[in-house]
Amino acid sequence: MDFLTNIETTVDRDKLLYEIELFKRQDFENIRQESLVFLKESSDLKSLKNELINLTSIEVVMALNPTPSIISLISENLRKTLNRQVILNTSVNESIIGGLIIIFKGKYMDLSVLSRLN
Amino acid sequence: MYNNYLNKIPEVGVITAIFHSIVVVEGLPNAHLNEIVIFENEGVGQVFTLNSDKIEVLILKATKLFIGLKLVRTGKGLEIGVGENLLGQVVNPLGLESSTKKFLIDFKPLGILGRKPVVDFFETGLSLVDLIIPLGKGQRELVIGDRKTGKTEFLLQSLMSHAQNGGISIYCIIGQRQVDILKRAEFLKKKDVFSKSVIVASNSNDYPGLIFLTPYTACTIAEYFASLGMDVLLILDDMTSHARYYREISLLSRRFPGKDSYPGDIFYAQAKIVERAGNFTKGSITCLPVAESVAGDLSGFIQTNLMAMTDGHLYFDSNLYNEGKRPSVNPLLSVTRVGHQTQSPLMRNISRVLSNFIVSYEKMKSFKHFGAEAGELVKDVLQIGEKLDEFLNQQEYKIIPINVNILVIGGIWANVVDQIDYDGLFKKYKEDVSFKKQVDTLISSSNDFDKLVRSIKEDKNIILV
Repeated sequence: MDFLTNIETTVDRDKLLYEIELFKRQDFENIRQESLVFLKESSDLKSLKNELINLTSIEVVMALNPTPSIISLISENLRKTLNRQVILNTSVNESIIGGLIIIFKGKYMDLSVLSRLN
Repeated sequence: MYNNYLNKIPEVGVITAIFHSIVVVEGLPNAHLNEIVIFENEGVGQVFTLNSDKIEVLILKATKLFIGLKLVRTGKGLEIGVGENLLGQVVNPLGLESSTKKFLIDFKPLGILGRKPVVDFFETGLSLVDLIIPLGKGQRELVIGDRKTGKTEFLLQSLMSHAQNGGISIYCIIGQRQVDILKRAEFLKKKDVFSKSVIVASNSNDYPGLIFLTPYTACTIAEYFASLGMDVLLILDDMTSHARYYREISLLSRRFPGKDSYPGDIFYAQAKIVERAGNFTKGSITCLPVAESVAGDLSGFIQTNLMAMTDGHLYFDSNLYNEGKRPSVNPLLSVTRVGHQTQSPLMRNISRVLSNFIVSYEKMKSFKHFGAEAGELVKDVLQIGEKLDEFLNQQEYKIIPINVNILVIGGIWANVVDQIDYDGLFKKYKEDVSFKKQVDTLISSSNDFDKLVRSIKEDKNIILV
C-alpha cells in the first residue's frame, strides 16, 4: 500500500485504474514496470480499485502548470493538514496571476494573488 | 455576478448529473432549501432537494448546462422586482430585474389579525354571476370547465370590469403558447385596460421550474399592490397545468408519487398560493384560479383539491355552451360561499328568488311541448323563464352595471311590458345622468324585491326607453 502514497493527482489515479483493467485482461505490455510489480503483489484488485475511487480529491487551481515537486509539496501539506491521503485535481487559470485556489468538499479558499490585489 | 457571490460566500458546487430541468450538484455544504444559486455561465437555479451528500437544483434560467459546470450560493431566496412600473408590462416569473424594490416570492400568508371579512361586492359585469352567484372582494372563486367553454372570455370580462372600477389586475398565464400570451396582451391594450394590468407569463418552452414559479410571482406582485391599499384581481390560468408541471419536476426528482402520480404535497403547493389572497386591513386580493375539467368530470384529483381550497366555484358547462348559452355558467352547479354576504338585502332577495325560480323553470321546461294545454301557472313561469334566458344570454365582453341588472329583473317580474329593450336601457343608463340617478334612487329605496316590483308596476316608464 506504500505504492498508493505515490498517487498524488487524479491523473495518477486514473492511470492506475486503467492499468488495473489491463492487468485483469493480462495485457502486461502496456503497464508500467513499477505498477506491474505492485499489482502482482496485490491480492484483492477489487478492494484496491474501490480504495482508489474513494480517495479524497481536492481541486487546485494555479496560474502555471505545476511541476512534480510543487505537486508533491502541496500534496504533502494537505495530507498533514487533513490527516488523510488526498489527491489533487489540478487546473490552470492564468488570470489568478499567482498563488492557488483550493476547492474541497464544496468549500472554496482563494489564496491567489489576484484576490489580494482586489 | 458569479464572482461577486463567490467572494461573498466561499462555497462552490459542481454539476454531476443532469435530468432535463433538474441538475444534481456536489458541494455547497451549507445550501438551504429554495435558495437561489448562480451558475458559472450566469444561469439561475433554485435548490429543490437537500440530500446528505448532494443537492438537486431546479433550473430557472440557463443557456448551457454540462457536467462539471460550477455554481455558487447567493444566500437568499428568490426575490421579485416590484414597482408601479410593472403596470402595462408582460413579465416573466423572475419579475422586473431593473427594479430596486424586491419582495420575497415565498411569503407566508397573513394570519387572522391582518385580515377582514369579505364585505365588498366584486362586480364582474356578467349578469348571471352578479345576480345569482355573486363574488366579493377578497374571495377565492374557482373557474372550472372543459376546454372551449368560455372561461377565458369570463376572466377577461371580469378584468375589464375591475379596471373600470379602478382596480388593478394581475393575469398569470402558466405554461401556455407564446402566441396566446401575445393575443391576451393585444386584447387588453385594445380595450384600454392594459395600463391597469400586469401579465405574468411563462410559455411552454420555458423550464418547468420557471413555469412552476409563475403563480408565486403573480401572487407576490398582487401582494405588493394590495399593500398599497389597492383592490387587486389575481387570475391564475390555469392551475391544472401548474399541477402537471409540478408532477413532472417531482417525478424527475424521484420523489415518491401519490394519487395520479402527483406528489404528496401538491395540495400544499397550490394552497400556499391561494391562501395569500383575501380581504386585508389594507387592500384586497380577489383570486380567480382556473381549472380545466375533462368531459365535465368535477371529481378529478386536482379539481377537487382546488374546490376545497377556494370559496366556491363557477362551473362552465359544455352542454350549455353547445346549446348556445353565453356565458355557459351552470347556476345550479356553481357555488359561492361568501359572495352573498357582500350583497345588499335587495340583491340577496333577488338572488334567492332567481335561484328558486331557475330550479322550478328547469322542471317546467319539460311541459313546453304541451303548448296551449299546459296550465296558466306553467305558462307564466315559462314566459318569464324565456325572458330571463334572453336577458342572461349576454354578449361577450359586455359589462352591465349591477343596478341595470336589478332594474331589468324587476321589470321582467313586474311583467308590465311584453318586451324590454335591454340594450336600450343599458345605453340610457350609461349616457343619461338623470335616468341613472332615478334608477339608483329607486333601487336604494327598495328594501326587498316585492317593493321594487311594485314600484316598477306603479311607474312602468322607468323600464321604457
